[in-house]
Amino acid sequence: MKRFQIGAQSLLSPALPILFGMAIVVILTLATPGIADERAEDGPSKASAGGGALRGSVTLGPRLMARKMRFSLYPDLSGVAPPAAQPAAEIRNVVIYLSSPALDALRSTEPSRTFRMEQRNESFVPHVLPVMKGSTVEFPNGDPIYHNVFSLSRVASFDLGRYPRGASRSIRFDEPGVVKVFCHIHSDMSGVVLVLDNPFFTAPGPEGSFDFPDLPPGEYTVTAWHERARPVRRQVVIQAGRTSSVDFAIPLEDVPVSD
Amino acid sequence: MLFGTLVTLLAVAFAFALLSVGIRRQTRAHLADLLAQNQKTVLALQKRSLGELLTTSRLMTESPTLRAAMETYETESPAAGSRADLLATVQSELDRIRLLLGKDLAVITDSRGSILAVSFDLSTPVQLPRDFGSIAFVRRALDGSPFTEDSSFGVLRSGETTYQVGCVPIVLQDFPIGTLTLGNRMDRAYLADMRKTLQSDVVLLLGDRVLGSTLAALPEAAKSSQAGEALLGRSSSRDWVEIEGEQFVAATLSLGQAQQGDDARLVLLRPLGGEVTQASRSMLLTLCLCGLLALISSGILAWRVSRLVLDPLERFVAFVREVAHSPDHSRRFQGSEESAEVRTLNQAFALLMDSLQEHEQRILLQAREEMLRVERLKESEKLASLGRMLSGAAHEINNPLTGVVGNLDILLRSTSLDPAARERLAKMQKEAHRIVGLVKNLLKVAHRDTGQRSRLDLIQVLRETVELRRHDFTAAGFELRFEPALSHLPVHGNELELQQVFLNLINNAYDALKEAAREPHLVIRARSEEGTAVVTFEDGGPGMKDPRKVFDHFYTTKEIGKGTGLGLSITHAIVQSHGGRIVAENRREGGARFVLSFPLASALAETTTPSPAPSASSAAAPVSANILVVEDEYTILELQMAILSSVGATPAGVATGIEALQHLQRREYQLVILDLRLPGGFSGQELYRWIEKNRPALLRRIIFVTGDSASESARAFLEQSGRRFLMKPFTVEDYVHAVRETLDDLRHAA
Repeated sequence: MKRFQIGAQSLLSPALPILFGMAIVVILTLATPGIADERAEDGPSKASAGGGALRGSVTLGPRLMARKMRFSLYPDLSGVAPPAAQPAAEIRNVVIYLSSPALDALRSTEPSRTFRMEQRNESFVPHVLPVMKGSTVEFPNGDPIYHNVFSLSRVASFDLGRYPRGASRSIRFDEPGVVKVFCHIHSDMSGVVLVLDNPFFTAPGPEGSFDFPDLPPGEYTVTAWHERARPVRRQVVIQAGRTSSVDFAIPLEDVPVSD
Repeated sequence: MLFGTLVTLLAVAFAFALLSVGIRRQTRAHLADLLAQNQKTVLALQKRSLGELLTTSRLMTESPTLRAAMETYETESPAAGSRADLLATVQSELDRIRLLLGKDLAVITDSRGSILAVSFDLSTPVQLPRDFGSIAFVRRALDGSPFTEDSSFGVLRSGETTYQVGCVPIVLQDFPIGTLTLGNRMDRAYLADMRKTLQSDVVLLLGDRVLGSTLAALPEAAKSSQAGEALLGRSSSRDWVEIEGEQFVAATLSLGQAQQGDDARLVLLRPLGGEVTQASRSMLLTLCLCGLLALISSGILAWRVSRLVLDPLERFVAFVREVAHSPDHSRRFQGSEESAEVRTLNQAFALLMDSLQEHEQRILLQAREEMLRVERLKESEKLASLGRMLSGAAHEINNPLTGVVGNLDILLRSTSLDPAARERLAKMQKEAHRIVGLVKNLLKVAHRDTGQRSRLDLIQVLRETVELRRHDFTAAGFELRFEPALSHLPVHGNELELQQVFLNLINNAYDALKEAAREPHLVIRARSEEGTAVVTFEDGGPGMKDPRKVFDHFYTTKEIGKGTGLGLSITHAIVQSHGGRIVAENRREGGARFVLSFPLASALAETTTPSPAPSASSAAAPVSANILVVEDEYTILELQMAILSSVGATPAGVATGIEALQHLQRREYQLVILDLRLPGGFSGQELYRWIEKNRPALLRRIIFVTGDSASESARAFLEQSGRRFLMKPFTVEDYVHAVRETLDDLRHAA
């Protein structure tokens, strides 16, 4: 099994000005909860100033916004209404990430970090977990039942075996890519670990807005990713002291059948 | 009878035919309804089983491996080598599912409808359409359009093979990540299985085309749109469809659409005709059996009832026939326990028989009376001839007897007789008088002449009669006792008649004693009882068979030829003519008893005028008259002359009528004593006629003498003439008396 050591700390010293700028943005946009907040704190908040900012929004197409079907043969243990009733939550499964050769250079300096993807109410929480390569992801079992986390994905094919509540297994992802995570016991459980090359990724807020406050100037590719849609990419140029913006609609167009 | 049976049979057959038609119609409608219901149920079940297929399919999609492989395959880049492994995983999962569910075809697509894996059981690969994802049921499964079972079914065509499939989405975290299609080949075996399961013929339709059928009656030619139309029930005004002349109850199950958009349908067909025929046939059979049973039972009942009525009738008829052949018509049928009809009939019969018997009795009585009359006629004939003989004999006897008696009288009148001679003469006179009595008796029997009645002593008569027969009784060893309670018993009657009565009774007893008796005896008692004389005859014989009949004419118990059966009847007649009674009875100790009763004479004394005793004066006076005696018998003539001379008369005697005529013409006579029977062709009657004609004055001076008292003509003549007459044999006294009386009468008249 391959181990991908992606350290966030290694990214801190060159990106201080960017992180600083991001902190300002965080203060400005107080309403950003959840992962976005976390990411804002954990992410490039310590980036140095003097960089540019990227701001934008993501809208999901009707096909993604409303989950159209849910039939499970198993009773819903949580007893809560199915997520189909909360289409807005689907926006949380969108990941916006940047990629550029320049950023790739920062890769080695970034310290390795540990993430968590919990099994709760027969679901992986969070459903989508973006991590930088080299990070370790823990899969603690928060349910009173056994789970068996496995993946058939090429970048990280593993089987963590069955373990009860309270137990946790972890795995380190060294190669970027999409890792689909399943449970061998509960067929409807699925999660995605999105292993990325650099730490510049974020999740849009509930309204679909996202913000990269402090970016080194340069040319980037911005990708809006959703597991059910083909990644949508935009080219943006970040200039120091300026705020660029990019808007995504997922899917932008009807996805052609890829053969 | 035959016609009636035929009509009944026809009526029954017609009723049955009507019933059959009605039943057929009812059965058809009912059966169609029932079958339709049944098929609806079957269809519902079939649909449910299809639904269960979906559920099962859905369950199968729950395989984590399948999902993981599919989902991962989706996200892996095409360049990566792991995709083939993932696809192989999907394929193996699919094969597993197909085998597990025992399906013929299984297809998995990704979320866009592209085929990921196909599993099938045939060696030749299944050729699925290129645009599999655009087939309605796949699209619907992926679109997540409202999920219904109908929309999840469809038909797949692969070459000539048709599959009936169900399609379910594979959902992961509420997102469809693909579809699973499972199905069965709808080949001959499938249809046969359906037929077995649903117990109906099935026809598979795609659009209007017949893809397959278990119906043998659906030839290739019938696989037309018309048949399809009929099967689809487009003309579904009826409950059934008609294929090739046969009726079917049809029910359609929609199997969904094929890729071309045609509707696939499974039509269940239940032949109606066969069911109806079978049902109606069995019902008809039952009906026939019931009818037959009813006919038989009613027949038996009718037979029983007719027997119930006819049996007594037949018994009655048999009885009537029997009675008709038997002489006894008094028998009656015991019909009180029979039915009312027979009772009525019997009553009528009884009435008829009663009247018949009455008539019979009357006719019998008449016949008996007629017979009696004839017998009586015979008897009278017999008696008449006997009478004629007797009167002839009596006449012949009377003439000499008259001489004997008369001469004896004359002798006894003379005083010059010595006592010894006188005694002898007296005895002779007595015996002669007995002869006179016997002759009289004979004449009495012949004429039934009621002789003169006189006062007499019954005891005396009885004693004399007993003495007549005593000798015979003693000789036979019989005891004969006469026990009179008193010495005299005066009655008024005719001695000879009474003697005959007693003699008859004694003879009767004698004969009875002769037949059987331990102590043969006859006891005769006589007593006086309340103004009557009662005489009883009690014998020790066997008694009478029927005491009431003994006095009937010709009743006799004696052997034929021994008795005439007249004896007791004459006895009865004589007793009655004497104003008495006679009763016959059987003694308790054995033997017969006759009880006779006569009125005592003292009681009758006044009624009988005592015959005027000849006056002594006139008797003493001499008869001075010329008297002509006409008598052919010389002895009697001489006797008469002697008597007349003895009383002082002057008699002249002639023997013939001619001589008398000459005498009368020559001389005057105061008296003519004329014998009625005169020889020589000139009888006493003719002489009388002559006198009547020529000497009328002399008519009153005629006294007839006759020995022929039995002759009817003589008697009639005498009565008609009114003249005095003397019966031979007469006594001197009578003769003289008659002469004197006549002369006295003449003298008085003068």
